[in-house]
Amino acid sequence: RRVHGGIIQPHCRTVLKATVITVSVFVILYVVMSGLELLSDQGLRTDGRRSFEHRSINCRLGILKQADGSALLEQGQTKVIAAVYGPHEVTRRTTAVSEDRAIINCQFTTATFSRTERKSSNTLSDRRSQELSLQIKRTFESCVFTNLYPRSQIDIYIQILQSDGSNYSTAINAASLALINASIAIKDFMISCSVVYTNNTSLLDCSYIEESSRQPSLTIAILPSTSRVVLVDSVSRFHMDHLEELMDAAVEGCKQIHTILNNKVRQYITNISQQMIAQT
Amino acid sequence: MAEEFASIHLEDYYAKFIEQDVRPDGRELGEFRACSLSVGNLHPTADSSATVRWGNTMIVSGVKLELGKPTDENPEEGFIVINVEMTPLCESRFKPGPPSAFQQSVGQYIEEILINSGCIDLHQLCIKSGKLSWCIYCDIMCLNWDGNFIDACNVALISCLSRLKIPQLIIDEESDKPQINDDIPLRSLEIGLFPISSTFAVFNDSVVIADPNLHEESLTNSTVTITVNIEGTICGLRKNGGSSIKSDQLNVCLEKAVNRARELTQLIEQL
Repeated sequence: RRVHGGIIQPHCRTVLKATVITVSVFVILYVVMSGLELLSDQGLRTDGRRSFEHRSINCRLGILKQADGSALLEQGQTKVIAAVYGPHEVTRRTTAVSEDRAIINCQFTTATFSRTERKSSNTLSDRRSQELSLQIKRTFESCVFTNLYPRSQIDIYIQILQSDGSNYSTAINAASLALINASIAIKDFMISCSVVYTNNTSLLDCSYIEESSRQPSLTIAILPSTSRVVLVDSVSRFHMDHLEELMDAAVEGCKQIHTILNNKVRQYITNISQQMIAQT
Repeated sequence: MAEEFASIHLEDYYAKFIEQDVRPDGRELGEFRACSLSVGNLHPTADSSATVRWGNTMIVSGVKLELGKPTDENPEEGFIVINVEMTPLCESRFKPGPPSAFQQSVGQYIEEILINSGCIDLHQLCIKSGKLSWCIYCDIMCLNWDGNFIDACNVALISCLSRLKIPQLIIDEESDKPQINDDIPLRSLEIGLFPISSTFAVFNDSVVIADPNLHEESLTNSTVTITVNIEGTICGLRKNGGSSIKSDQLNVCLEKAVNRARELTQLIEQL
């Protein structure tokens, strides 16, 4: 201050103060009126990622002892646990026993404590959960070799423990890992990824803020070795010219996730085999 | 002879047709069924109504206007509630009782298409901010199920809403009760561009056919539903698992969907 008092003359100081105040008022007004920006000018998202980066992925296989296969998958702050029981005898008499293939049964639930506000307890009969259960069941019907397990049933139970966006994608990835852990024959990994479109860029792997921002978004599931699309689900509207860009970004995202999950599964198998060798 | 073959080996029967690029009912692989529409059949009990015949599929939809209190989060908006009914009347696979997961997911999707398209601004339904607003109840019933329920339902819903006329209300100051003002003519509901959906079925990971009927639906476990308006804005894109497809097959479906949207928008507007 003493230096300032010496270098800057008093009337210049008041002009400087006035300019600083005006500029800061404009910045605040701009931020308040434009709402939350998903992608800043420097290309950073709300959590500091770039548009093509997905969140950190962590998974643990075989954590539930009762289930034939299980997996806990974390994508960023979204945590999903999936359990697979089967193939076993068809339990519900109401479902027709199929002579030549296995029936896949799926149940998708969200825990009441998974979000910041407590969700009501009947998530099982919630329309959206029922819809997602049906879609996930159909998705895996194209991935599991059901004709190898005739007259039997494979159950997939998925529970969202912590919800921070891309619940649907993480659920499908977790179920895929659980099926592998249960040693059920599958054609390929089923990998899913979500993409949101804002400012003419596709952002991979949406967080909760990005998903709830009402920007158009797309969730897809693919078989990564052939890049064939098995599931597509879009939210909000976008012009058809953007479809190709969104699909390409999503397929690329799925392949990135596939590389990571593939490595983790192989690591898990190596660890198990080393443990078995050490025991003998 | 053909009928016996069809009833025993439906898949092989269909495969033989598809090899020749045609379907048993004479349509080409990419051809949609003809749709005929009539409105206002349930006047005056329903505020707006429509009947759709889509091939053999028959859908009736009725709209009733009621008054309600807006929510605290959106005090300036009214409501649209869509209810879809599939009873054993239309097809024997539906059992009486609570709706199955399939029925719930179809109902959910029809509602999502309308919300995603953003064609109806709910602010026009508000009468008094925070106190009173219109609530549009749409009930859609299937009378005969011959495949492709979502597209036919969507057309019925949109034609109903486009014909809906809302009366003007005066709130009586003394009794605080709303009354219909008969002097002012009814105003139409303002709708933007209509979202029109088109459904395609995927066979054997390779062939994509448009507008599956009942038999074709039972042979496939994978459908793609694309909802577009004539401007080219995609209001909904859904592929329900099952057989996989390549991304460029999606683009072909998209073009067909846009053409179909033009046809049907013209049909709805002309009536």
